[in-house]
Amino acid sequence: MKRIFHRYPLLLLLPVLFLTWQLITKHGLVGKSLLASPEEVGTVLVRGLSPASGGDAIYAHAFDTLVRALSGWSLSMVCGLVLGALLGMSSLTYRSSEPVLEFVRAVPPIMFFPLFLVAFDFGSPAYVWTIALGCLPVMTLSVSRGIQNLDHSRLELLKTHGVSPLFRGFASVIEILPSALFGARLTLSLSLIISVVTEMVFSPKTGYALGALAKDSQISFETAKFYACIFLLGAFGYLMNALIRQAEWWLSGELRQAN
Amino acid sequence: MVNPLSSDASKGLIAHRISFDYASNGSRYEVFRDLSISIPRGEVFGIFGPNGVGKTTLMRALGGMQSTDGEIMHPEAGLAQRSTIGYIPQAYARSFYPWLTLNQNILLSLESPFSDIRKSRARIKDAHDALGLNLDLSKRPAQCSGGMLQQAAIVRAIARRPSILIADEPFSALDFDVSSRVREGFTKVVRMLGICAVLVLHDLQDIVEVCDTVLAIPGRPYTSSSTLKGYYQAKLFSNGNRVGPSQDDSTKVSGSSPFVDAIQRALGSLDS
Repeated sequence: MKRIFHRYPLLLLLPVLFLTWQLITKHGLVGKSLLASPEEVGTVLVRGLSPASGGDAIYAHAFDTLVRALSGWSLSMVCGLVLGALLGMSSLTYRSSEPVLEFVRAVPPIMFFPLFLVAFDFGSPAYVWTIALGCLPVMTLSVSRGIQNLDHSRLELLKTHGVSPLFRGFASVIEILPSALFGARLTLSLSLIISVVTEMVFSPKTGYALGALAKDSQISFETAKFYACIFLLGAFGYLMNALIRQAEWWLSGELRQAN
Repeated sequence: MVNPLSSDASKGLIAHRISFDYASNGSRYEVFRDLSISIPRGEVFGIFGPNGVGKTTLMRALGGMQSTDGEIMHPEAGLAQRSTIGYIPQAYARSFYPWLTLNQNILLSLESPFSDIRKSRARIKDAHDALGLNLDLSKRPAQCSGGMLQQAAIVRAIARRPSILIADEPFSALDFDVSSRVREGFTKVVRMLGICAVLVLHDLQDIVEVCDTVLAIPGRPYTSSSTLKGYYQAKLFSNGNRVGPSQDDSTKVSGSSPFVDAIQRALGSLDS
């Protein structure tokens, strides 16, 4: 039992959090309009599984939001990998472009959202491009830094030992992957945030939107639905984060203690 | 015109009047000038001296990893051509890819390792056994100590069956027992395969037990005049005690070893 808790410390913390949440709502320490009880949130999530029987289609909202977030994120991954590779190849391009990327990174991407809305006639691409633009500087910087920090002694050894340029390139790509995955992990959370914020600012013309549902629930004091939205976003972000982190660990050769 | 070195191609590694300098902060620094060295096949050439005199630069130049003025002739290769090189870097631990096992890392360094995987594995095992090691090559670098990684780095270089082997302090992380076994295995393999080995060493015991010839360089680093002076005053010592792959106890380092005394005396007198 101790070993399981040691390996998965979250199992220890979760019951404590739920118990505290339960006690707070049960004893009315926080008003019902501000915090729903765990049972109420659970009911919304279960009811959402069967929208035909009066559910709130919360999973359909979540799905569309995730599609938008992942589309923007994927776009930023592709563009970031290419741009990062080009900028990281030379020390000069890296040093000259880094301040520009840091500048763009500091500007909240939501600032560009109205421009994209006009440019794309209030359609879905406006959301996708806002997300992509928000994630792009982070991804580009991660990749270009990974290339700049490549261990040249390893490459020199392979070159001295006559290993083919193709394989040397492959080995370099594998070596850059942890940096790229780190960027992917950071931008994944960012893409979810931007997706929800843009949906809260302006509801999409077509499809569902978790951000819009959360905003509507807040306005109509449907606190349980609001917290169910938060729970779904958090759960998805956590799962994707854990998945990418596993790949990072594997690549950096870190062996888990259990092995 | 017939190149004076071409007839010596089979004899070993020959450097003829090589020079190297670099620019820093607007000044030019000469590391060595008109240096000529000849390393016969099956012999170990040691480079010994204080930090910063350019030992590693010279080693890299002899291995063809650093371009220099002058001519360097590798065995079994023409001028400006590269023969098979085995390299043991000083940062041996960083030279392994963490996501591969030691065995896979070594395989990567062999010529077309996957065309005949059984033969490649046999090569690795031969090198491992010839060095008298007891390494578990199925481990990942993160599971190994520094000493184990250094042993694996030596196996990696030897498994290539190189004609030139360059190594920067290849025995520095080995404990006493393993070190003496590896040194013995190393010299045996160098003789057996006819390798021209160039080693940068700091340990006198390594020098006495492994090297056939030693270039002892005195001089202080980071000033152009003294670095160059160091190379001009460098002396070449021949290890008369070394007669073959195995050696008797008389070659162990001791206070009265004439070889060591000579190197130390020379370094002391030249340095002052």
